[in-house]
Amino acid sequence: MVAAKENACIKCGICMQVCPVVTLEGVASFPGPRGVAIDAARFGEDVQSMRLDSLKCTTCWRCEDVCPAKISLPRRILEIRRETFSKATLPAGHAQVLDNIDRYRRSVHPEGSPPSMKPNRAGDLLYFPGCIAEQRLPAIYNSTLDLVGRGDRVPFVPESWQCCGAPLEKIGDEQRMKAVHEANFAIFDKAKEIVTSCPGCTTHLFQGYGLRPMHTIEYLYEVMGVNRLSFLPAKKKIRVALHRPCHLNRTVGPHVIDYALEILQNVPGVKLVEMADPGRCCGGGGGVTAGHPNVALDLAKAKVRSALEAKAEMIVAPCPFCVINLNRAGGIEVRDFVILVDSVLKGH
Amino acid sequence: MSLAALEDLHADVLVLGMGASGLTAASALAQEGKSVMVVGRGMSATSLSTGCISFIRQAELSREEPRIDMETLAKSVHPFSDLIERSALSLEDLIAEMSAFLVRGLADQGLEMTDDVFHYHRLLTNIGSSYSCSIAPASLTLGSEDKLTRDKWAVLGLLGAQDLDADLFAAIVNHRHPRIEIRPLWIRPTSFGSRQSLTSLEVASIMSSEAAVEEVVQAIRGIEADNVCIPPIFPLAKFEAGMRKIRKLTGKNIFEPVTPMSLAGMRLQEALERLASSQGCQLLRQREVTALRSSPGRVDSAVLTTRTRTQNVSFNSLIVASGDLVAGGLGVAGAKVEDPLQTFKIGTFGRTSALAASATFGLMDVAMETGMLVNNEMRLMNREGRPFANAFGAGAVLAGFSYPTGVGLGGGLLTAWVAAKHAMEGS
Repeated sequence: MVAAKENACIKCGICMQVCPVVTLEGVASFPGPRGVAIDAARFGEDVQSMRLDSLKCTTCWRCEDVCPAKISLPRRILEIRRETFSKATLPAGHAQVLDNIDRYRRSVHPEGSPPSMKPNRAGDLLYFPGCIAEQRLPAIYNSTLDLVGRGDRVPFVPESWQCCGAPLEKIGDEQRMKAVHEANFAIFDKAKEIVTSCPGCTTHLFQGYGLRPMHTIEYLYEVMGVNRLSFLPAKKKIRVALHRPCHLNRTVGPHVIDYALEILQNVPGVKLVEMADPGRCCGGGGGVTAGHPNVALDLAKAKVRSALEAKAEMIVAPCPFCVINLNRAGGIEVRDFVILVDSVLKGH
Repeated sequence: MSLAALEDLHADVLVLGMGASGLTAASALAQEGKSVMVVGRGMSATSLSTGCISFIRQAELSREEPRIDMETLAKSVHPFSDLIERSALSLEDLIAEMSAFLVRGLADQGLEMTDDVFHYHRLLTNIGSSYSCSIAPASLTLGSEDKLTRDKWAVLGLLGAQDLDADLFAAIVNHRHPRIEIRPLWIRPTSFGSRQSLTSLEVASIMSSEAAVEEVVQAIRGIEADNVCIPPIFPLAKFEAGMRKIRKLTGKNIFEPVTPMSLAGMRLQEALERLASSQGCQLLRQREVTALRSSPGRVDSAVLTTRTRTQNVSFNSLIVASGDLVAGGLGVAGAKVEDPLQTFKIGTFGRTSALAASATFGLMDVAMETGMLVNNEMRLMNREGRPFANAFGAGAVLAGFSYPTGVGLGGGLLTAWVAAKHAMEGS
């Protein structure tokens, strides 16, 4: 069945032009947003035949953003994943994510050193760190608690938090997703304010739970006040390119990018440079790093090339997933936004 | 649990819509010192157009005369010519004034336009329709009739680039202009790799390398023709310099036929955005206006959304240039076209609403006839049909403007120019 919204497609093809995976791989390898979300249904193709193609989408949301008919192509692609979900056809990386969530309540296998900051277990600002910041980039976890702890709220991390379920939405496992929602609702029940590190969690808490979380950058800018952050004098000058994480820019909202740019401009020694097409996806999202790691890597390499062409010495990415994926490409220093800002604050 | 709205904003003028009409009105107002905010989402129809600003209706295309007189032009501009003249503004003055502003402004942003408003430039597209553009980027025009008859012509196709089908293009030119012969030639650029179908943005990205351009230059050198048409391969930033370089290295006249949905429209969009920014307009991208607050006779403020948050903007004047049904300026409720902001009167222009009421027409037919209604100063009407003192409409959102394909952007821009003039007074 073709839903009315898909019939609204005017065949302008702009979603195909801006899709980072189509641009990288060509339509022979990935039929693109229109090919997967619109054309297949319109030409009566079995939804199962779209499964493999649908898994290459990074859910960067750019196609929806540019669509003149406002068709939510990424949502349709996620629906296809859900409708065709079966454990038998899961990519190995996706199966691993499900296993991790069952075993550890995190999307990733716990390894390395956990965050050194011991969080409060009660307070008035709930910090939801997300799996990557806790398990892969604990410096984000530490820096965020340090940063938001300088305000007048008492941040805390509830002991029993689980993966928010965003990876399960991307994989299409609705049953597991509902189960983690159920488990997490108890911790959100009494929370007045929620702050998050990962734009994927922020978006999912908003869309999937109906909560009103703030990304750390929103909290820094709006609640703590950018003018009240006092920075150490610069040790040296550095050319920094701000990567626009898709889920921060396009599903939390472009105002966060404006905030990030304004804060960075105030950091002594930081010289902002602009890479070509700064909003292009790094490849880290949509379960593509787990399902099609080669696609994720190629997109990250393209991003690093753009930064180097702009003569950047560092990419700053306000998203743990983007930081991890961009680091896979190598060739340039990549830092999370919060780590950078916290490291240059007075009294650090 | 709810989040506070983002910090309130204020502007002299708020423009809804970041396409050609909205940006032109915004730039004109900002140049006069007004503080202007422009809100927009999505790819504009301008980006998907041929990038030409034309004032001539499709019906005029069969004319033989290379020039068009003012009287004919005035009548053929668009359904609003009478309305505009009744507002005591001379159409002739308006077109000249706006053309001068755009030619100068866009040239400053790297898009050279001719100001030969009344000359007939015959342009061809890769889908076989022709466009007459009275303000056209010089490099986009294939040339006038006399030039076409003079020399040998060729069209170079790049296998894999979808924007220009050399065989189709040659067939159209040979059919339309029997006195000349244009040969199609194809090369497969090695820089395309094994890729079978590249979008214009991908081609432009590949052509940012000198080696890739050099390959095109080599191919053109080997062509036995003085005039060679090539697909669009340069984005705005490299457009003039790139075309100049190819001309210099090959010693031939190089033309880029207009192709819809191509770089050409995106160049115009980019140049208009830069023009607006350079005049001091604040462009609020990826945002939508979801509600307006009005008091009798005035619209006072708007609610913007940025996906998860909202923001209030107050203003002295409002210009609605948010496009037609497809682009989101209008909505659909059941089988009716409506104003999603629930503020303005929707209707058909210059005719009874027989079509809208007819059950034999589909929604799309109705939509093409329906839009926001304005008075002769482009003031939008409230739902009872009384004009607002400070709200104006421009471009494809207006009734009478949807999809008369081939009209070009000129008519829409003219309504924007008139709206800006009147908005200037009240803000």
